[in-house]
Amino acid sequence: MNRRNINSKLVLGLLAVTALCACGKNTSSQIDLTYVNYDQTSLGDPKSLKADVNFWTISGKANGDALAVLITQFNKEYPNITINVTTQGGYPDLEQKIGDAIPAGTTPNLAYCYPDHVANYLDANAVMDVNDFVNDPAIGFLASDAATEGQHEENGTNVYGVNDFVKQYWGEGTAYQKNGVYSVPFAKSTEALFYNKTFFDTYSLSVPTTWEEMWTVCARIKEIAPDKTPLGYDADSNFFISSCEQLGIPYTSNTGDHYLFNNDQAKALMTNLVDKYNKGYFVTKATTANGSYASTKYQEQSIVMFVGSTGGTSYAATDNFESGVAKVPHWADHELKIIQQGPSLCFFHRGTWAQKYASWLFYKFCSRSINSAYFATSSTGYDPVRVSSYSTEYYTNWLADNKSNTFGKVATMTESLRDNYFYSPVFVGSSNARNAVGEILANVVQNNVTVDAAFNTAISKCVNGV
Amino acid sequence: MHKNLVALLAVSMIVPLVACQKTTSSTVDSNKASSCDGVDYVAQTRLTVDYTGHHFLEDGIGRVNLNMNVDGDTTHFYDRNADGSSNTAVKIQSRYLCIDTPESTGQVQPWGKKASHFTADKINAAKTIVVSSNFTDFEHAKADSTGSRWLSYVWVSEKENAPYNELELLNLMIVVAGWSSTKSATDSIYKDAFYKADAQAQCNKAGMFCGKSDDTYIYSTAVGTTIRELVSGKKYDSDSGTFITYDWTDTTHNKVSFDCTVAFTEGTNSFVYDDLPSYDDPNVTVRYGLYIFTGYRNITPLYKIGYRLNVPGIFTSYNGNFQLTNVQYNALYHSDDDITIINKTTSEYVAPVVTPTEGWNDKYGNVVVKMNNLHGVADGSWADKDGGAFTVKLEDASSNVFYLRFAKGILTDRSDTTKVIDSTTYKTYLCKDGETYNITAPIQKYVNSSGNATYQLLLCHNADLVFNS
Repeated sequence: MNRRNINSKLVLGLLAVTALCACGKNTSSQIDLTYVNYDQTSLGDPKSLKADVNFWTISGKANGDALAVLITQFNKEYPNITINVTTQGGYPDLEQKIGDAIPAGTTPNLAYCYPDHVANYLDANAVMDVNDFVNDPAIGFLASDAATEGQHEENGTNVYGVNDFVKQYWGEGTAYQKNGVYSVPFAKSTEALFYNKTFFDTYSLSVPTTWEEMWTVCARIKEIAPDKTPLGYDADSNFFISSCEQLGIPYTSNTGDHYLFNNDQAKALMTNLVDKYNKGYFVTKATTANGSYASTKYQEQSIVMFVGSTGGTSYAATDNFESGVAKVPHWADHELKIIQQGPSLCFFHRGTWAQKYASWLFYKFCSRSINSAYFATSSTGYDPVRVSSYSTEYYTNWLADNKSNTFGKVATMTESLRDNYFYSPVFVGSSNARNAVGEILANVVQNNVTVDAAFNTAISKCVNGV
Repeated sequence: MHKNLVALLAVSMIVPLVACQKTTSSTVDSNKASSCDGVDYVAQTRLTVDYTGHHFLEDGIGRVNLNMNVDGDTTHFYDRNADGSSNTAVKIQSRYLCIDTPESTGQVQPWGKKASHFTADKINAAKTIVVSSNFTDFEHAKADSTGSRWLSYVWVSEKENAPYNELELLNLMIVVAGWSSTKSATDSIYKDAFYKADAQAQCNKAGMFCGKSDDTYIYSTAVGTTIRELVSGKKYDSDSGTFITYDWTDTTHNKVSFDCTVAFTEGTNSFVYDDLPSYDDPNVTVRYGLYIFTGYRNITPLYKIGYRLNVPGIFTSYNGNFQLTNVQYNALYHSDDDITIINKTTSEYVAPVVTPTEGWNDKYGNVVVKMNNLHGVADGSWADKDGGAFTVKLEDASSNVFYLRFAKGILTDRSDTTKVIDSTTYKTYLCKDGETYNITAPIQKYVNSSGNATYQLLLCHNADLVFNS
């Protein structure tokens, strides 16, 4: 990019900032959203950039402490950038607060997010296209930084930057209705099957790899220990959505009629699940009194195995018995598709360019292969987002040190899942679909409504935006 | 290029005008009012149902009496009899809805103590306290996901027998004061008030959003000491050359570090020890122990039995038992606040054999010991009212008493390790005539809300209870 273009873009940026400041309200349809490349001539070395970044995150001491360590390290390289972290409760709270902050013009510069939330922010034109940062000639993913930031070999070539991220993790941020990258992976998790290995070994049970095998194992467990629940599944919505993905059942689409799940195949799936629930084979968080997490019941040994988030591995670790970790089963004759979870980050239009550049520099620092490995191993059970993270000396040492405990078992298992991850379509209202399908099973088995009626209720909630 | 720049700059002067054509100043003020202005959300939020004649557990609303202040978002109450006295048989452990204050007990975080004091001050000043669920009609109260605490709105008034519509929502007062961000409020019947009050508190930099450090939290490096000094409540005074009495749990100086060896694990938590000369006789070596609570973190060195470590953390007392919290380990970016591995030699822990009489002493607090030939006594054993944990009264051959504490799910039948012994079957299993067992477990002190201290073994692994028959 030559100086003329840079200057022109700077002025366009000024237009945007001026309009924003003058209005005191980020109704972004009123402002020019053109990206302005970092101009080293006028702004200087990025390492001397001065800015305050307002970063909204969620609660959690372990993950908060790991983030604080990264901020301390970041400030050693970028001493004039201040990262102001404000925890905003859980993910639904964060979504609500950002939703309130967009019209009020009080959004942060950077925030944890889930794609369903970003779809709404994007609809309000509040979030930036990360590709602009990625391709920035001064502060983007540069070949000259690859050795520091992370790279790995593919077909004899060193790949870096976007190509060094786990493909599906980065791809998630590109799956919005608008072209571009509107969220980037920070720390990722998925689901795992945690099982009481002591129980399985005692009764010579095989760990199920398909749902059909699972029901057979559940039936056997009911014979062995009628007072125990064989299986718990924490996330009702994941059970339904992952099953739809594996079985090729329409769930949602980010084009046309968004809500596709009210179909005969989905109802047949749900009827099957209701049957297994009624046989006492499994419970879910939504069908349990008080919405108890299955991990609690698992530790108490009233549940023999459970499917839960690897981000909550801490809560599956127990000394009460030996705990095993396996892939979540898939439906027979269908490939395993497993949903990816965990926080991404999104960047907001609101703020000065210095704040936006600083936000990106902070993300770039946190996503270095070594730092992503650090955050993953210091948190409650996340995975690094970079391919190169897994081969860092730090990560391999950590894995060797933890190979016999639940954290190490989870990390080993998830590393083999990269090709099985998927993300569901995101659009305005996709979070409603997720919530609505997560209520169907509980509605049928607890409120005694028919499967048809429960699907109608779920669709109605989606369409009406409840 | 200059012409283009001038033209663009000229446009930049116009754009704000165009962009703001429909943005009246009142609109801007309105936005500001929704976040920063001093709206009294507490005054706007009132209970709409009379609590009179109702009980919280059955009806989802009821008047209660204070049992114990715990921290900023948890208070223990008693249900209330018709004459106003406490029904001590019905304890209500309330976890406040819609908030999550910084930790101040198991873990300690900046602002945790201040949040805890704010809540306690309001509760202590209240002459009427009412607890309610997130209900739309009278219904049974709801427990949290652990099943042991009740999700509650806590309403207070400094007036005795205050009518329901004069009570103030303490949960919301905590948010207004900036001691908690609003959390898990998307389904709250007071959702709007909570989110708006939160935005206002953050905008006005109330409480923990002030942008400053908590002056009651210790950010400096830990003070080096020993487990012996910590658990004995003593400190070496270089002026006098003697050990003086010292309360290491005092929050002005309870950030400490010490050398220790890993003895035992309990979930993600650990027990550590150090063998040091006795104060009374330097020629006698005494084992001193400490419990390290990790807060569900995976801190690898604490799992390695026999590792010699230097461990910094916050020294506290929890129900009378000493523990270290806020521990961390960083193999990549090591700081003074991180555990340092002194020696990576792993070795099996050898527990000292202790009698019940010897164990009934602060000296053995958090030391993993072995007690032999004990039998359970049904009379004097009890199961918790909620949570599923239970405690067995033990006696040795001379009828000396000790106690053994079990978390739910930890004890299984010795003939079938998949069969859990729970709070309904433990007496039959553990209190059989003539049957004795040996136990390897840490001794923990427990002081109840009346101030009475007992000592108990805490079973950490099923295999650590071995029957002699």
